[in-house]
Amino acid sequence: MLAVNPDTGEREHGTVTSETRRIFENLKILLEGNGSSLARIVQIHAMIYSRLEYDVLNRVYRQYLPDHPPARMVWQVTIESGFKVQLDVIAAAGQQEK
Amino acid sequence: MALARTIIEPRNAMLNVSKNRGLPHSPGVRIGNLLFLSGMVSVDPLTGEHKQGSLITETTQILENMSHLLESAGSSLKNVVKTTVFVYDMLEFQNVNDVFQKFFPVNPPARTVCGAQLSFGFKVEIECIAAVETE
Repeated sequence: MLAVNPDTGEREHGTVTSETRRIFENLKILLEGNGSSLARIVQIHAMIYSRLEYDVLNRVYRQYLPDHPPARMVWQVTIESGFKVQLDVIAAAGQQEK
Repeated sequence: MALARTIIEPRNAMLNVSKNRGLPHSPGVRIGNLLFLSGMVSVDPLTGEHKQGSLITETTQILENMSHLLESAGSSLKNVVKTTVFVYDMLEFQNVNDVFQKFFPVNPPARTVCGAQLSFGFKVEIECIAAVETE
């Protein structure tokens, strides 16, 4: 997923922080709308435009996935249309049984 | 019924890189009977330190550590379904194959290999999806 405004569909290029936040907000909408949630994410492939931004990515990441974070692989790639972050996510359906 | 999601960890705490370095990911996640492992780099199982070397020594160390993590979670290299391998230079492709041949001699898992820029001067990083052994 890329940073897209959920109200207008416009692409929201920004910093690694703003793009990552937007992607997580959209993921929340998408997952919670389908009976899952951020806590049910199993694996994330995080693509960033520069390895130098690794800690910046981690800072936002911790806010959205505070406990039992999913498995992850991060790599530096060239993302389409000048975006700085792209997340590719696998999540489980349903909610965890207590 | 929703599948249970649990975090898996290596028995050897030295290899719990995400915890030891305070990174926001887990060594692996179990969902149903599948294990999703995070990307692994070469780490010394005795000290927990990064262990950079040649592509062959790094790949060997990663697959040994991966074997340990999988066995800690009731699986093994035999039950690996898919691996994704990142190498610093695709010229080393054949070296990846040689090490894989040793660890996966028969019916090797599905695999993707790409050239990528890795952190800390590592030459290779590997992640995998594996099945848990059930009766």
